[in-house]
Amino acid sequence: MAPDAALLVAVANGDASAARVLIERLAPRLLSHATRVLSDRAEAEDVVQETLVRLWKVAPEWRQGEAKVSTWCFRVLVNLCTDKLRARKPTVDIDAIAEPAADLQSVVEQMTDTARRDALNGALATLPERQRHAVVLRHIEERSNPEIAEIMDIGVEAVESLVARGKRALGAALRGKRAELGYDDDQ
Amino acid sequence: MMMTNDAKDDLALEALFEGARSDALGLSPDFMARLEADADAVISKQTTPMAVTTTISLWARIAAAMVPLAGLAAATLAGVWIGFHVPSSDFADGLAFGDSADFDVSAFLPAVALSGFSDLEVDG
Repeated sequence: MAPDAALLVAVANGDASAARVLIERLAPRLLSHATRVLSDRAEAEDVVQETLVRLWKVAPEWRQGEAKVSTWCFRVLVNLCTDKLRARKPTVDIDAIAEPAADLQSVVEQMTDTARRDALNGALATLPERQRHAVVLRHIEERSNPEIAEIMDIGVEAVESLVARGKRALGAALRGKRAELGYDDDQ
Repeated sequence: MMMTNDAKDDLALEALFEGARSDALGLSPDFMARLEADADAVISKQTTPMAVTTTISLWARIAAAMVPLAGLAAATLAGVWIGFHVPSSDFADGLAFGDSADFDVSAFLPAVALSGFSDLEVDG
C-alpha cells in the first residue's frame, strides 16, 4: 500500500486516481472527527471538503518527511472546526467555560431513551472546544499524545491536561447514568 | 471488592469510546462525488499553469545563457578595435624608459627611508 505522502506526490504530478485513494483513506476519519466536534453533519462535510481542497493545493509544495499527511489534514480540520464553532458563538470564549459538569449532567438527564452513542456525542458537545478535540483524537481516533500536540499546536503536557479534564467532565456527567446506558456496577 | 466512582466512570467511558470507534461514518455518494470533483478541478488547474511556468523558465534560461556570451562578444570587439588602432609613437616612447641611462631608485622612495640605501643604484 502506497504511503499517503507518495500518493500526494502523484497528485502533484496530476494523478487524479491517487487523489481518490487519499480521499477514501482520509475523508471518513476526518468526517467522523468533524461530526463529533461540530454535531452537525452538513457543517462537518463542509470542513472536510475544505480540508481536502487545501491538501490538493499544497501538494506541489509538499515537503517529504516534515509531517504526516493525515496529521496535517487533522490540523487543518481542527482549525476549520474552531472557526465554525466560534462563528456560532462569536461573543463566547468557549475555552473559558470553567466547569461543564453541571451542563453535562442536565444533558444526560434529558436523554432517557437515547442510545449510548447519542449520550456520548451529547456529552462531548458540551465540552469546551479544545477538550472535545483532545478527547476525540485521543480516545476515538486513537492518536498519540505527541501527534495530538502537533495537530492542535500545543505541548504534550497541555494535551494530557485537556484529555484528563475532558474525561473527568464526561465521567462526572455520565456517573449515575451507567445503568441507564447499559453499564451497571457489576461490570 | 467495590469499584470507586472514578474506576466506574473510566469503565463506562471506555465502553462508550469503544462503541464510537467501531461506529465509522460512511461517505455518501454525493459527498464522495463533491470531493472527487474538487480534486479534479484543483489538479487540472495546477497542471495547466505548470506548463506555462515551464515555458517561461525555458526563456529565462536562454536569456541567462546570453549574459556571458554578451560579455565574450564585447571583449572580442574590444580586441578587434585595439588591433586596428595602432598606438602612436609617442605612446610607445613613453613606455620605453628602461633602455636609457642609469637612474637612481631613491627618486622613487620616500625621503625617510633613504638612509640605509643611499648608495644603491640600479643599472639599466
